[in-house]
Amino acid sequence: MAAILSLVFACQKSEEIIENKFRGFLKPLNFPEPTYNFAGNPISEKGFALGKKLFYDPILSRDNSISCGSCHIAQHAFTHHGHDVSHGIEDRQGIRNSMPLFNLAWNRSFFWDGGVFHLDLFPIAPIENPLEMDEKLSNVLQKLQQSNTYPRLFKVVFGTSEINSINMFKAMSQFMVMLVSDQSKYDRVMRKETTFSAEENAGYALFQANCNACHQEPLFTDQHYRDNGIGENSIKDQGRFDISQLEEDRLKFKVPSLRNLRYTAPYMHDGQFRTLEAVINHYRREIKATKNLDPLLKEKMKIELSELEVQQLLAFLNTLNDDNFVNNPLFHEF
Amino acid sequence: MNIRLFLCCLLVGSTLFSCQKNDITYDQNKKGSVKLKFDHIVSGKTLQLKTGEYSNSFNERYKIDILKYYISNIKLTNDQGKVFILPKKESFFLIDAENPSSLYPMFEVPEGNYTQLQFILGIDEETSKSPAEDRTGVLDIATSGMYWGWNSGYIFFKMEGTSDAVPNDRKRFAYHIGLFGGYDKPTKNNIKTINLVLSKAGSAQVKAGFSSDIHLLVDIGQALDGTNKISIAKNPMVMVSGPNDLIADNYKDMFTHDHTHNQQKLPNE
Repeated sequence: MAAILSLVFACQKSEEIIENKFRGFLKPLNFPEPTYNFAGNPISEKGFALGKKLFYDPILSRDNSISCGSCHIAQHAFTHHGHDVSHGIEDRQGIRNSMPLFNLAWNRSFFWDGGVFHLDLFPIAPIENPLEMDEKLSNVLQKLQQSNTYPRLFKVVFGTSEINSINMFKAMSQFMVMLVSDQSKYDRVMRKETTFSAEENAGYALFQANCNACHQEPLFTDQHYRDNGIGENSIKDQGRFDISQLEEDRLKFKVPSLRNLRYTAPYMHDGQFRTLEAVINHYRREIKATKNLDPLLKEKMKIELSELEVQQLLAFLNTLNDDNFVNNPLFHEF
Repeated sequence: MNIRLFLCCLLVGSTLFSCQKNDITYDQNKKGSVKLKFDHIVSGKTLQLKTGEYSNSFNERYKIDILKYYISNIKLTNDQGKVFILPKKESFFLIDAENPSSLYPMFEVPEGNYTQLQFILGIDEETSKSPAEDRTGVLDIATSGMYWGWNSGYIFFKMEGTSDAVPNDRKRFAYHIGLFGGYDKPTKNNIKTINLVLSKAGSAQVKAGFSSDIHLLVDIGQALDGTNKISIAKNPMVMVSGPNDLIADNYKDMFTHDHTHNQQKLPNE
């Protein structure tokens, strides 16, 4: 068993990672209770390691070429940095900007359109999407079952070497729920370990007055679907409507978190905003009067911010970046 | 119903049943078997996957190569009005026209003279929302081929085939009907409850040691040609969008009870 573990963790032998060794799932003091049902999938170190191995294994794709980690890159808070929409197998282009992965244990739904409601039911979507991994889940299970290592690892974690969709997804969830980002300066300020600068404080006040209604602290999203007036894009992506088929949901997308923005550009569901300044300018002067435009934006059709205030807001948003999270070797492939 | 019609039914019924004993005694503490036999036809013709050719009221000819649907939440009511509900976890069946063994779901029920059969075509809301660990057997999302990964939910009814009416080169049509009503906000709900009276064509007289085979005729042609008329040319692909509710309304009427064979010997006896 130790041999297996040392094999899995072979890449993590250096001394300094002791700081980031596996400690199980710990709820940050300034966070609410998680929504993930840990009782149904108790997190273990070996389960986490197995989930991580699966996350980084291209065996999940049809031609064994790409893994989850190909589009969800740790150093970029697990998004596909630099791509407006993500590239899947054979460089096929998806329709959406891959979402960053962190604080998933608090998510009530997944994807920009919220089409998946349990983390344990998530991986089938990218695996079977022809634009992403283009593989059949049943084939993946077969490949895993026939491999030299996986049946042994599943036996250790789940007590059975028979690999099915349930234990495969539970292992992957064990990795994904551990991706907790709670070490930003903002978090340390909230835990009274440090203080904001004057500029950051001014930005925090602007944030609370103008942004917090949707990007609610401490997750910086209320997880609702909203139309923020960026308008219909060229491929006519209808967002939440594609799931609910309700007219009131046209062009609504899930409010994304504002954590870790430094690593996750470009922004919005189709990555059309390359910079944060561009995002803020959208709210200052480019909001479109779409049919389902969020009521919070409809009244004024703009968020009024001076150039100085923009700088203050950016200074505050900068406190939401979590270097420890993106640099944590516990989450890295190698 | 007027008296004359009632008497007439009674007369026909008594003739049909004249060969059956009327003095069977049932012991509620014993269990017998019930087998549901799904016999697929298309507008009156036997379903022949891939080869049989059928047509709808738009004069569109078509062939069917995939036909699968879920049956669940089975209930039987006896002539005393007592309802037997098959334990939910045991009540999920995936009927697949290509897989003969799937066409005859069998389960145990207490002895009795059952006059009504009820089931859901699809997967109930609670199960649709269930956590991953509950999705075993025919509900396994990896193997059923009846699940939308990107919009968490089971496909209740899947029918695919070919038709020259389809306005593209592939000539394929696909009807994947699901939608359980939404996870947190009410959306379209295509879960259909099917109620069949068995007493007319023969109740299921369930006795321990035997099987009562309830033979159902399932007219797949109804999916396109029921109350709602669906043109293949206009709607070659219906899944999460499109007139899925109209197709679901159609197929809920595709089941008729044809007859029941009681006191059938069980295979291993």
